[in-house]
Amino acid sequence: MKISKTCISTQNRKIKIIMLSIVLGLMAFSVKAQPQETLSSQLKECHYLDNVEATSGYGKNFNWQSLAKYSALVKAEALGASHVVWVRFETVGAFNGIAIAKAYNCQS
Amino acid sequence: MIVRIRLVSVLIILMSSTFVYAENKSNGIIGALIGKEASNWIGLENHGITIGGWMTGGINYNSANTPEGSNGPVSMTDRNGSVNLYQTDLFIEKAVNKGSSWDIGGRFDYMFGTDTRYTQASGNWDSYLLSKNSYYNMAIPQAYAEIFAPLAQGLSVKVGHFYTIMGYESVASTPNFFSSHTYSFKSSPFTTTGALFNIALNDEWGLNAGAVTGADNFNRDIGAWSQMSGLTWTHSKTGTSASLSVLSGDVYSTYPSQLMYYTAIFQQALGKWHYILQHDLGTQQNAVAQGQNADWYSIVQYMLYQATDEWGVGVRGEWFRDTNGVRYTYGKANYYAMTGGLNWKPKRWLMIRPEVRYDWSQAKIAPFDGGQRTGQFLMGVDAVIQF
Repeated sequence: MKISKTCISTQNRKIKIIMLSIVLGLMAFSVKAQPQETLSSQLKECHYLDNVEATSGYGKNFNWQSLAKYSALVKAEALGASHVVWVRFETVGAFNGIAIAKAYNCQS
Repeated sequence: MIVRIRLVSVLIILMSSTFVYAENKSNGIIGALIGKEASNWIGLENHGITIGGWMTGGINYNSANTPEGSNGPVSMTDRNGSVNLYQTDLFIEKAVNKGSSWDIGGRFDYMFGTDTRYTQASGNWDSYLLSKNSYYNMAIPQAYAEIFAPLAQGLSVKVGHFYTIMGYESVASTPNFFSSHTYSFKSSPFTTTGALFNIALNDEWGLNAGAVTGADNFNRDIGAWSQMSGLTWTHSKTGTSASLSVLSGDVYSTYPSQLMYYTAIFQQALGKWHYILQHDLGTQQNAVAQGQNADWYSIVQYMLYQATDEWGVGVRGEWFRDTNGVRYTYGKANYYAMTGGLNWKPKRWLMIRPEVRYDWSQAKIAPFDGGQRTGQFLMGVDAVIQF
């Protein structure tokens, strides 16, 4: 019985180490979305590019706004945006939603 | 049989309509068809009230061609070779405005379909709406009021019957990438009843805390209360998210029967890639004869690639350990499943999800094909149509 418990404990420790390694590894490789979040009143010498709309993705997500924001920032970056102005956040069900923003390219 | 033929006909008609109707920004087929959302018909939208819903139907093929037509212990998409309406959900919602002033809202969901057999709550709620033996059944997974207070960064409380905060996959079809579900999902609490507070600590941290009547329960053993709480951290610049949710408390009021269930989820977005790691653990006091405790745990990983707004591809791998054989009926067991699938959204209101899945096991009793096999291969497809 003692051997069995020791084996399970060792196995659990290995699993936890592997999971932690995956988490830390992925976080290390994460790339920051470049566009800056700002207010329309603070825009200066900016060229409007387009509206971007992005969802929080799949699954049950609390704080879904942050995941939707990330997806919108990635889309804005692909358009060449340096700044975004959030237009609104639409709730979809209890755990998801959509972020809508205006993407701008600003000189400074 | 006639019902199934009618369902297939409706699905075909609705799916073919995607090529007929003009493109617009509506998330529902009603808005796309007539240019006016259902909420607008009687002016409810002006009051912030939304009426909506969705319908999910699909079919599965099991290579074992099981005589009973069962894909079990795979849940929900558990019938072989027949078209099934998994769920039709109709809801009315007044979402609270989380701004600078107080607000009140709520939501009511009614569900019909084969999935409802898994989602009903014990007690005097939705388990006796139809015969318990009926394959197609009904459920009321959510009926709650919500109040928002502009305190700190925003405080809201739900009171009533609602989905738990546990897990990554959802009972509702719409947020799920895959048609089929994990073993972990089936072993997690779906709904609960009580009060749940949510507070945004800042832009990155969120806290849930509540008192509830336990997992998938309305008012059975009303004296046995549980706590449900969770902490979530998300970072919008890096697309990283981590959360830990716990539900614990006695299941029955007459003897020690504590259920403890936690879910830990890590998500990392990498541009169009999205990785999810979920670990669940459950323990149940006095779950087995002679007063033994039971536990089960799992690890699920997803890797999703969203190529365009319309197309996504993903894989999911799971290991589920049923240490005491209480979550499934095949004794002490390890279950493994690999799933690969596509996600196609030709319209904002239509999602089609084909997938292939292989399950295998190490169990005391062979779990598949009525005890004949230790593994099975499934192919399936479903369609989710939002109203």
